[in-house]
Amino acid sequence: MSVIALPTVAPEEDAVSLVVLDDDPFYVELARFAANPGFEVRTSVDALRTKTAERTAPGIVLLDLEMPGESGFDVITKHLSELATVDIHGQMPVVIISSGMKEDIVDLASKLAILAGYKVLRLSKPYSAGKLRNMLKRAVSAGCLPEGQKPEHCPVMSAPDYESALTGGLFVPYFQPQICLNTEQVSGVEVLARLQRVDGRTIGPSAFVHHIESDAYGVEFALYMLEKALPVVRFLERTYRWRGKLSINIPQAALENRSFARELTDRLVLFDFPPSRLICELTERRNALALRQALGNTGNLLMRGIEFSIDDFGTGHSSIERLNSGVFNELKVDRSFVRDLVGSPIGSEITRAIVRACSDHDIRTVAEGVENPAMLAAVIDAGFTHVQGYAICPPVPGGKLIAWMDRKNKATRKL
Amino acid sequence: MNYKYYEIFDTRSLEVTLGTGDPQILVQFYELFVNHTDSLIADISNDTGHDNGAILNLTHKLKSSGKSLGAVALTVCMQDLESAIHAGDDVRVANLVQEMSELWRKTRAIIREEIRRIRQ
Repeated sequence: MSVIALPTVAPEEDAVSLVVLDDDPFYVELARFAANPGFEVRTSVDALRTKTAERTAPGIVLLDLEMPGESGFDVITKHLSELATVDIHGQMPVVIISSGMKEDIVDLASKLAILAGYKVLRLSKPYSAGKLRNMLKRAVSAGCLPEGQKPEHCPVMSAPDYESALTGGLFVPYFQPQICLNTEQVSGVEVLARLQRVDGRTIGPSAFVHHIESDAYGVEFALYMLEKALPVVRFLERTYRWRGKLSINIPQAALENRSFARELTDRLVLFDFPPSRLICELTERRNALALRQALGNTGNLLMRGIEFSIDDFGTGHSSIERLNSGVFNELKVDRSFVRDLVGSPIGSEITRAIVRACSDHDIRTVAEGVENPAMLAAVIDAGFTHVQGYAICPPVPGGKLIAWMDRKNKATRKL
Repeated sequence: MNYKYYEIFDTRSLEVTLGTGDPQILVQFYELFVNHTDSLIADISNDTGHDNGAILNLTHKLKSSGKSLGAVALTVCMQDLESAIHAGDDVRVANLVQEMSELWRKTRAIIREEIRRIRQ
């Protein structure tokens, strides 16, 4: 129950869920105050249990570490990990760890949450309402909601709604360019799924990712996105003689499907797109190479020259073994590790060691989520080969990607 | 232990923390802090002499919210108390707990006065 009577504001339809777990009532009320309006605030761990049971989009969790009874560590290892096991892929909340504890303890909590598959931000106590507001904005853009958009309530889509949207062609490809740090050229684009609602709003994957990674729809959706993305890439090729790579997320369900490799290569033939320019990004949330069929498909695609990339490295299954498998040409390091380059000495050392190891084995390293010039400088200094993020270009629809490429080409010609 | 008024409490801090001068909001946060800190101070006093770990948890908490609210001297006292606990100096711990109680009495009086001033 709220202690501070805040100005009455009608509940917003598109309010974002914020779960505040802190035993200090001052900070609980400060969070309510800072989050009002725009966020739907809950202050009990029961909110996480409910979300687990109902499989609803978790939103943001503001977590204190030092609490009697269940500490922040307990919350991460128990409740947040339980939420992860119900397999709400892509809907992991952003965890903001708010603590005045020593840096190494906060580091440990951050790593624990990252290993469970969460995006982590950190906020040192004491903090102001303004600082928390800024952090909430960052959390919204960090992954629990469509990037760069107004906070939007994203209830999980039902299967019939998903099917209708797919049939109606409402899923559209967005593209985010990657830059090669050696040549400073656009080396590739990643295709990302968005739902274009009939009211004009664009919804990020959190509302539908459990369908597109499911056994029922995974294959169909991966091929659908490829068919939508290839014409845009071919246009870039014809107009700008661009020969970069197209990266596409491939769910485990697709890799385990007997006909997937053939259907994928059929599409490439149809659009006359060289297999060597396609990169299949495998997320670490599940070990996609564990099953025999998945290995068979991977082998078939590798033989055709298609490349494989480990996506979101550091957020799911441990990948040291996967790096050793010889399957992967590229490692995409999750933004939380990239952010550590400027914020955490230990995290920075780990990230640099990973980049060095990849460099020794000719594996490309893509820094994801590079948001500002400071991060870009740190990424270059760490030896990453490629970069992707808002500092370069946010995910944009095909038309805007073409306009962006046009501007970039003109700027390059002037130089 | 002769503190000047402004060394005990900074009346501008809460406004800066919240980013608003709304009197109703300020008063409510002050009252929340006073009520919560009353019980924290009582818990610290009760734990003195037998559970320094529990005291550490409580001082840590009070240090954060006290700083946000402007309880300057109390925050410094909490830092000293933490250091004394880490150093295992039980005599100093006992003295600082006494000092803390006295400081809280003064801080609370100033906050009450501030609440009265805002309400006028």
